[in-house]
Amino acid sequence: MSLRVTAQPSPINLFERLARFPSYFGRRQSERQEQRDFRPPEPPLWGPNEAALRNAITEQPDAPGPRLRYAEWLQREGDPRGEFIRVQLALSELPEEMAWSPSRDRLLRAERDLLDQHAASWLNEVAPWSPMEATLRRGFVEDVTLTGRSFLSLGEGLFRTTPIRRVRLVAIAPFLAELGRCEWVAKLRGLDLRGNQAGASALSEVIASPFASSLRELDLSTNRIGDQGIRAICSAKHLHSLERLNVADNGIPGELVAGLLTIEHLSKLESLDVSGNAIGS
Amino acid sequence: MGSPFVSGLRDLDVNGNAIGSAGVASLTTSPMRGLRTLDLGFNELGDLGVQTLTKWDALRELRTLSLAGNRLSDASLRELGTTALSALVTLDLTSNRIGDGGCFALLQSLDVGELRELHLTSNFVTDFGVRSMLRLEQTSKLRKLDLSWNRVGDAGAISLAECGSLESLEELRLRGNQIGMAGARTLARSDGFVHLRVLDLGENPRIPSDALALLSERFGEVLRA
Repeated sequence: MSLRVTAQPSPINLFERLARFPSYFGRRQSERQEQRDFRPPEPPLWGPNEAALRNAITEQPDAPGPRLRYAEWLQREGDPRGEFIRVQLALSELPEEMAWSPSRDRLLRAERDLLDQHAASWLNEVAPWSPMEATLRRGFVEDVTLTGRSFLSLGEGLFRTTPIRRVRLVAIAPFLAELGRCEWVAKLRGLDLRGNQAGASALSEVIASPFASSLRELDLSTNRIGDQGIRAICSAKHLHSLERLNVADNGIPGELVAGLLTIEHLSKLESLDVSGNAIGS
Repeated sequence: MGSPFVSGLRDLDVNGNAIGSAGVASLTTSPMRGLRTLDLGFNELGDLGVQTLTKWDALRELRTLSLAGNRLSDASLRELGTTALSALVTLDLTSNRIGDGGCFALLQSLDVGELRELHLTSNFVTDFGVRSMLRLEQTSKLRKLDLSWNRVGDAGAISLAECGSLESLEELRLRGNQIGMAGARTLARSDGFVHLRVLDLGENPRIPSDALALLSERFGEVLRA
């Protein structure tokens, strides 16, 4: 009994023992190496027909044609996703006058039934990128919410998996310079950087990015952009495609907001959210 | 402002900006064509601001207007009633100081013929207001009527239940009012409300549990209580 007690190593003894058995360290090191050998997520393995159809969709993400061709193929294969693609496409193409129509109700009901049954498996396509949020539009995951880091480091495979149209990035503030150089931004329709409290000087890299010129939706709300940020937007002539701009909650003074409405290169602007600033005071 | 450039903006959200009547005056000088959604909620317009706003040409094509939380009284609604808002579908007047006269004046006006959604949450509408609104043809076209947190009692609920013309109504919200047993029972017996999807009667502490049971038997999933 007393022998066992004395044999128990004191902390110093433990270090000595570990030092004497380098194999112990060696094994842990190899474990770490295995972790380092990380492969970025890739699109699922599709058969040659399906892969060609899916590639056509991701290459022309806005066009309905490739989606319909894929839907037709899926329906021939007996996959309910084919019907889902058609239903969501039809909903997205409904004219505004039909907002209350029975045909829209029918489509919505079909959409809901299909989503109830299959949403989990269709959303699963983007699971390897662990998005915080993913939205199915026109039959595919078009909108995702990711951390800035995973978008910048793993985004490539995502664009080949699904026709991404909008990305919301959280915790992007430290990587905004990198985002300004990121060419995937050019593939997006909407970039949502809301709530990052990034400040005007950090965001100016994104506003000035040449890849931002095809953006149609930009959300910079709650980012402390202030008057400096608004001036940057007003002088960014390449943002001529913008249709929706959200600069809510940014401490922007009123006279600059009025100025936004008279900028020639923002003539396509349809929606402007300047709520929660200080326009009146 | 004096630029010849006319903005093609469709949706403008200036919610929560402490805009007073002077701010509205400068907004109404912006050259705009085809504005469809305007959110002026939670500013400091007051009746004076609304008076200025209604002179703005850009309101003509507006489909959605929010004037929530702007300390508006009945005078503002009379003003809105005489304004050409012929395309307006949704009007949000939540959290103001609107009473019975204002609702009647607004819905009586022929210039809001397209109105389908009316949000009057947290105002001062009583049974008289509800009853006088129901006499108007415009009310029968409404798809959503939100009267939560007003002062609607049994008489108002009974006139809603017995009014045969609310066939388009899809959402009726009466949360936080003073509806009691008589109103609840009459609602449960009504054979109208064919398209109703939501009937919110929560926070009406005077509805007894047996009347609630009747309501849930009649309305099923439609009932929120």
